[in-house]
Amino acid sequence: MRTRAAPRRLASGWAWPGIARAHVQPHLEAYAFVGPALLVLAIFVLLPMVYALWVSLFDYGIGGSNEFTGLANYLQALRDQLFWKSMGVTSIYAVGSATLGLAWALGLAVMVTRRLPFMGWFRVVYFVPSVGSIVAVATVWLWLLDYNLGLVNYWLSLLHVGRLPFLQDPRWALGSLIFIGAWIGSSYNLPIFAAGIESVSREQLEAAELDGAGAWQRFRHVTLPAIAPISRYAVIMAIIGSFQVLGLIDVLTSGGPENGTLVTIKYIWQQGWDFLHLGYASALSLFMLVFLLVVTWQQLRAGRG
Amino acid sequence: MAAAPSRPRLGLGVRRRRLVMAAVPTYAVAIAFLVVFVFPFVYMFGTALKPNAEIYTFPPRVLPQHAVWTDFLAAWNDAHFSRYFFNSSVVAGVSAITNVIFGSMAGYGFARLRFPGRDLLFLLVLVTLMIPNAVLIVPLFLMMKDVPLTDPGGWLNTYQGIILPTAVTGFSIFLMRQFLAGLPRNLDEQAKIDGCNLFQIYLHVILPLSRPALAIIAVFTILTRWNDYTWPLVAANSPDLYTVQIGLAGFVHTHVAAWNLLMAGAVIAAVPMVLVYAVAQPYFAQSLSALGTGIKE
Repeated sequence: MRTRAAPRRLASGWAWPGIARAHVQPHLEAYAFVGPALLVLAIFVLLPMVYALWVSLFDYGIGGSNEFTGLANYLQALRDQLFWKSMGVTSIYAVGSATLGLAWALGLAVMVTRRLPFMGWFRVVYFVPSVGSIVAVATVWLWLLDYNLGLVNYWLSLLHVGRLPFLQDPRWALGSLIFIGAWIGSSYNLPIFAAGIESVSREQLEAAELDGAGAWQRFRHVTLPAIAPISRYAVIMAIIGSFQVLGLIDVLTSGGPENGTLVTIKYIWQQGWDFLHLGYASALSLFMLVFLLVVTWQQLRAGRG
Repeated sequence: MAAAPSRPRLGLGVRRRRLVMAAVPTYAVAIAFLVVFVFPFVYMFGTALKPNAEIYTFPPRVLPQHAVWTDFLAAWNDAHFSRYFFNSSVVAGVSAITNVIFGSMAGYGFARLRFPGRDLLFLLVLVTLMIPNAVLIVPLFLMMKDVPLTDPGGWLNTYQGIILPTAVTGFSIFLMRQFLAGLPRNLDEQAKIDGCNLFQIYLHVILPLSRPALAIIAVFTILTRWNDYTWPLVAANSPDLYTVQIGLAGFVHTHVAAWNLLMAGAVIAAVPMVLVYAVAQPYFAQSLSALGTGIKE
């Protein structure tokens, strides 16, 4: 048997090691289909993940001066008040903009799924803020909220409210960012919720109506449970998205005033590219990743339990 | 249904009027939110058409009294938005092509073929969806800076440097796999019986059937790459390679009060994607139901 197998192997031009011959060779075509994409993901997503861990163990400067410092970056991060402040700011932004944006999206989704003329048209147009780029959107809000010339402050002056420091006061600035984040988020999540509401079974809704459930009870006990999986996905994506708001921050506040809108991604940017502490920036981004994974895991667990 | 005839029948006019009256508050809310979502874009466009003198007029107007196109020309030529526009188009266009090709190939592999390690590898694809780009920018920057066999600076400030990290995304693969999972297998099995090899099946059976999925992958890739901010900011530090978003964000800081120019830049950044969205609108509903099936699995 063995002596017979050997010439056949050689005839193929390449002697395959035993395991590879049995497991890989018959599936070469399949691997050729998934291979190129997996190669890209391996090199540009998975390898950088591992490399981020490695870099975080060094005092890494761009000039080439890098020294192995073990866990020093992590210990520094634990003591870095500005970093934890940035995590606090980001969390407030995330919870505020996600809550407001998702509630807003859900309300509008209920409205646009009513069987009325033109609702489909409203639904299409409401999505526009999500496709008009974040930097362009941030720029127009910068103009609308301008202290002296902005249209919003002009309208407020007509109501005798007086000018409000939308972007000049730390608390107002974070509030303004939460509103703009919710504005974009509601636009983005509306079609997701609308698709969810439309997939709720008609029979169930009609059965509930026959049992005497009112509109609110039908929504609360039939529609809401049915769209729970989609909602959970939307919450997770909204929170992950909140941690990446660099474009919005760069245009509107640059993290100020008084670091009141210094979100973590902006702080990581400052450490990495303004101060060239790339090792430290890498450690901070891994802290952020762990935090996000815990939040995601909590969300998924809450869904199961 | 059976109860309907016993109800007192209203005249058509009265009934319709009642329906309309009941819907009035809904339409009032709908129009209010239309203003909330669309007004900033109207104001963006209105300001971009204003001559310099009209920016500071009081009371402020939404639309210009004398519309001019000079702001657009200034942004396009003097502020180099033409260059940024070209760069963004290259990045979005090439990414769309690579995502469609490699995403559909991998999606086909995961949906239809059997091979050792398939489920584990697909799990890895899903893991890549969970990793925020923000975590990857430092290591990616260092990798791109030191690409073997390149000059100092590596692939920073190159198109391949901007494009490669998202040349194919887990999302594209996932979307294609979900689409094919909902497609009956008998067509490609028939082709197999007829003696087609896997590549022929992919090319002549799978791809033509998957046009809606391919369109969604292309549109989503174009939207996300055009609107991308963080990675292009890291990868391009020379204005020659700036995308529209990076150019506009920088423009905001260099032209602080030139609102008409800034809004012209914003229009150049935003409007192409609004148009892409308008054209691709029919595919959006499908993509969302595809997402839905993914979550429920």
